[in-house]
Amino acid sequence: MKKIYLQIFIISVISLFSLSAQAQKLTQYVTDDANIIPDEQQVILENKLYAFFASTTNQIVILTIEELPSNETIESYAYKIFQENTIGQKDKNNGLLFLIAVNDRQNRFETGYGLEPIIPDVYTGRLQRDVIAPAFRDGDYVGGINSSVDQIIDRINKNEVYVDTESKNYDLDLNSEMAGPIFFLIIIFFQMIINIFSKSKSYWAGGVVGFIIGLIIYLFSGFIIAFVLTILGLLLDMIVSKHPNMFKAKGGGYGGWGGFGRGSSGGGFSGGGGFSGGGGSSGRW
Amino acid sequence: MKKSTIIILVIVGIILLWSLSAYNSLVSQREQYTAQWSQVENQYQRRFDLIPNLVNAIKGSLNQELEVFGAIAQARTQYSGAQTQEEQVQAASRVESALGRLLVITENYPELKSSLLVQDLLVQLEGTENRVSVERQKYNEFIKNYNLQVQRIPGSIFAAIFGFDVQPYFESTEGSDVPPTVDLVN
Repeated sequence: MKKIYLQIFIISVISLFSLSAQAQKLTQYVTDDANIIPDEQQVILENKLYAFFASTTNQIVILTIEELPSNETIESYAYKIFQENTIGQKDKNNGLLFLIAVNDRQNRFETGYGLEPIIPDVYTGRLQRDVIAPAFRDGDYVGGINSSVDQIIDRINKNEVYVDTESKNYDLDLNSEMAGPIFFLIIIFFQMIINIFSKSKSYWAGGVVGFIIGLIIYLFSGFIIAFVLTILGLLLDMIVSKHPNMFKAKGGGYGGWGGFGRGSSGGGFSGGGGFSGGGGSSGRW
Repeated sequence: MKKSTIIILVIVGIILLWSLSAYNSLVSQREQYTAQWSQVENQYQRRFDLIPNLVNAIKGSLNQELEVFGAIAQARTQYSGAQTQEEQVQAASRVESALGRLLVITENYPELKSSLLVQDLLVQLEGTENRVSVERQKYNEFIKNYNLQVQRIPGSIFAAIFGFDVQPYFESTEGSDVPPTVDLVN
């Protein structure tokens, strides 16, 4: 019986994942799933886009696909990809997605919210009409992509409203950068609490402390945490009061916590949390 | 104090905190979808600002006055006079279907299709349509989260106590997403 439950559980977890993985996660500035860009050209283009990102934090991302998934228009699919990959920086929304569906003969610029004033729909619409459509019609995908991207970069550079010279840490990401030190602090705090609880004679003070901590956290988040922490504190106190030496540190300190570095390598793409309000334009060729 | 008194006090405290938290969360979700609705309205406004330009550009290239211009003008008046959200949605879908007809008409006029001005205006209009649908989708997501909290136990208890009702989704009027047929004679 247990095995069956386990299998059901595993299957449902897998199906959950496959449901949420509808839009693909991009890892490069140029993802050429339709194979229309020669490799060496792709590297050049990627380097150009990465360099542009590194100097201005604007993220221009290119995705080519053979066909749109069924039940998706180019608009809905571009929006999904954009949201899934959170192209652009969180506070600036300065991302731009160039999606090309080769067999559908459609392309779309999905403009991040923050870039809309600099790159209005009419501008990308004209690019699609005057630059991309003629080039693509001749099968010159690389030429069309390159010259349109160049013009967009040029335009953004000329209209740069937010040159960010002070912070070079454009990759700074709370999740990866701060998680280490915060975790470290929590561990120290935990050890302190355990010391106090195991020395105290009471079996229930942990519940009170947990509740108070929970109350503080509650002010910032939800009620459930307060409840959970109360129970946790109570349990913890009961355990450590019975076995005072269970969680004692063996001495020797916390040597292993050094070096929580930046994870991302040069050249790869990772979204910065930007969103799109559905701006941009679609074109055919 | 007796031990039982302390326990009762703690339980009462927990319930108080709980209802406070439930109330706050309901209020902030209501604020969220209200704010999102004004985003939808913004995009509607943007569309209405574009329409006169487009109509003028197209009218100039056409010899006859089309029925569809009248329909657009009518729907616009209806929207600006709309009192409730429901009326707004109705008028907006009417604008949508009239615009859809207009777009099909432009397909039939090569000189319109090749006009740069008309092309630019159409790009803008398409962009606005897409923004409307994106904002609408977000609005419905907020409504969904809010409705879930209002209907689910135990949230439903607090929702009933504090008087939070289920909100309707924004659904475009039936038929507005069907490609319109064009009768050029009218």
